[in-house]
Amino acid sequence: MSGTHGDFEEFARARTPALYRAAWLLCGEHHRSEDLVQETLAKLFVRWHSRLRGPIDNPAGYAHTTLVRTFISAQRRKSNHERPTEHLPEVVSSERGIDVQLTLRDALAELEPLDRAVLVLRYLDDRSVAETAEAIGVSPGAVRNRTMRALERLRGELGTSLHDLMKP
Amino acid sequence: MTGPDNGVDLLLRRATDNLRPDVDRLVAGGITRGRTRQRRARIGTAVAAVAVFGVIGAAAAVVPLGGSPDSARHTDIASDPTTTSTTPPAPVEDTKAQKKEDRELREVPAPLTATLAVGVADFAQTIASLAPGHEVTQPLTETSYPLVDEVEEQIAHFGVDGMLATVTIMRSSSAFEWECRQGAELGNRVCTQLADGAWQQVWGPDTADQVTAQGVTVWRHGFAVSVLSYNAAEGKDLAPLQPEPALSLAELTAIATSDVWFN
Repeated sequence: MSGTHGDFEEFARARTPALYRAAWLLCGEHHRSEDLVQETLAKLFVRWHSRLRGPIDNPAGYAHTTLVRTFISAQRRKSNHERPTEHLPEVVSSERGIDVQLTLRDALAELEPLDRAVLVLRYLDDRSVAETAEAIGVSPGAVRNRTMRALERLRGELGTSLHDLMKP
Repeated sequence: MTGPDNGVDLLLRRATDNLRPDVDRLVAGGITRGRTRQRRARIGTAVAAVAVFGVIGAAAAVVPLGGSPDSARHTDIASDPTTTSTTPPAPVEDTKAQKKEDRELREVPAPLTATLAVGVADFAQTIASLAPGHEVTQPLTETSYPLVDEVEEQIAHFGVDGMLATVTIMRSSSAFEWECRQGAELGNRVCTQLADGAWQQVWGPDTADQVTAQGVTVWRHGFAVSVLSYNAAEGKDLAPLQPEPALSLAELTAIATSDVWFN
């Protein structure tokens, strides 16, 4: 699936909310999340219209993998290692929504970027261990270890609030 | 998800379900950035076409690729350390006026004043007529050598006296001057404006991965015509057949500047 500009725009509009949600979990703040989504769409745009390469088999999966890889690459550059300092301007529908977001954001911020990427791929994008390993370029064993470590850390950060957060 | 972590997926979704990104703005911004990347990539299609399939060697160090972070142009690409630049980089004055001028040159496509006249099936015959005395094969068809024959994009690879040569003709998406100047900081290239207003970049010879390559790109009629010649049957990692590429710079110039390509 690749080809016309109209097709791409339609696809991008449909996928952008999901890409943004993943970006927000990775970056923890609005502006960097938006930048990551736009950078991802830019790379996808070029790939989508490339005549030298075949069509993309799974555009949605390709887009999310691109997003995570772009995030990881950016994290490796020193200028991106600063911690977010501003609060979220996103529109949320309820105070409870804000509570969940802020608590989870703070907990995720304590994880290593690659651990965050593993959690997003495995639990938000519902990827298998093997798929996650391929997406971020590590072994399946490393994915398992990072998953366990990240979940333990997350539980530790959230503490008893994890149970509260899960209440409907 | 199953097991003791089965709440995590729900938690992540619950925490993000009510985020409301500005989809219109994000998509528009992504497309704008994508077009910029695409434009930069197209400048170096001659190399990109080869690099994608891993047969590039020296040409990566000398063909302008426009500075795209995704392009094959990086300073760590091997090149002949004895080669010196004939076009010293211009002094950089970081002024708003310069940036504005640069942006205008970059973002305004060159006008289309002709259509392409030669199909890639006739490229070999055309090259042979423009550079007589050489044995030119029909376009290579192996998967390593993409063959593109479209209205605004043509790519073909040949054997010339048993050595690799490449011709690409691409729609130019920025001002000729801007595209010609891209990559000048890499050195070993000369960008000049011709008497008829066209822009020409002569680059190389440069050597990497055992193979020496050189080429000429000419921007005219809304297109960039690039012609590359190597001194081996492949673009890299193969013993050269002679010291210099099969086609001389004079012959490459004659091919790239010819009007035969256009109606």
